[in-house]
Amino acid sequence: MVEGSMIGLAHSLAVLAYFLGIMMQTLPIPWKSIRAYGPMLMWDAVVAEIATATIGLVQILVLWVSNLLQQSIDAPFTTSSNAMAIIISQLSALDSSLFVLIATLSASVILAPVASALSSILGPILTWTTVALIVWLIVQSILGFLHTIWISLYTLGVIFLAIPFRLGRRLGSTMMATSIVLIIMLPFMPSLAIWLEGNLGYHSAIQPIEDIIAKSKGNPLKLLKLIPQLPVSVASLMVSVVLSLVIFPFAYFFIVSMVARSLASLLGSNAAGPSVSSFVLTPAWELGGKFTK
Amino acid sequence: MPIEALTTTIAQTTTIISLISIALFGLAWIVGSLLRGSPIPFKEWKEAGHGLQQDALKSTFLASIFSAIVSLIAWIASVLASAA
Repeated sequence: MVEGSMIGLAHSLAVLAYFLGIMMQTLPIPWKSIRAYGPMLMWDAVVAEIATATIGLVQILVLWVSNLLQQSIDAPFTTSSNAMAIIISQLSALDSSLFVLIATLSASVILAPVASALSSILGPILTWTTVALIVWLIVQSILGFLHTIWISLYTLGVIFLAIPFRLGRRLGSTMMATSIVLIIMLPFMPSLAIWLEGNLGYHSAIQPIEDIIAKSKGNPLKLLKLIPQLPVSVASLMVSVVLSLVIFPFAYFFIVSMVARSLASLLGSNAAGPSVSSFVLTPAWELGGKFTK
Repeated sequence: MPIEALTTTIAQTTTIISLISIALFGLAWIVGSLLRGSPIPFKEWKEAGHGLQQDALKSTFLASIFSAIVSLIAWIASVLASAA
């Protein structure tokens, strides 16, 4: 539940912006450029007032869309915590096995050159796997408190949106868009990664083995084809794990940021507010123009 | 609570600004009347007076409409809250 005091602050800021707009429009000054900020302020205040009044509606709508997507997407896990547990265990196993392999080979003097070669090959993979593990752990911790704080973040965005003269319009719309996009898209990230991993792994590693076994029912000698297929399948499994658990999170974050930016620009982050110079220079230009005519 | 204190301060500022707006409406109307009724041959000045009067009237009308809508919403919310 959103704090009522934050909604009250957003409402009072919107009312202040509206009456500032009224005051600017009523100013008995000959410069129309300054008086023109009045309707702009009033329109912004109306938008902010609508955003303030619809916070509860947005909350219901976001939960509805989230539930709708959860039921529509054929993800293997209904809750993100199960998928997250599997991802973290897989990455930890991969990380520790690579580390143990290099450490074991380095321990023996004879295999030290092999260990050196392997560490130069597997070093970047080890680094990126560790980075991915850290990223997934960060996502897990964010998912833990996102459900409780997203509406506060949204309300804070509305407060910034309601500040007069468009001072916090860009920050406010970005906060509103980010909170909505994160609460809808972030809980699907672990399930989608597992779904991607399962599909890639099945089609590239498991299905060829199944085909060989199916073909060898009439001719057992065809089972010998499994010997060259096994390393390929293991490598394909590794590729599917790396693609879906190491590269996918960064691609997903890129998509999330693009959607958030688009939504923020839709909510009005592109609208630039009046600058200080426009209050000083524009009347001077108008006055100068009148004198030069 | 600091947020509530801030809200109260903003509400007080809004009240002051609305009072200034009403005073400015009177001033703009008088200045507009003065410019329109002045026996001068400059048509631009008379048009500026007309514009001042028009803007003042329009903004006061919008202010009263906005206040009425906000009061109506507050009344409906209080009725719903008391009924629940």
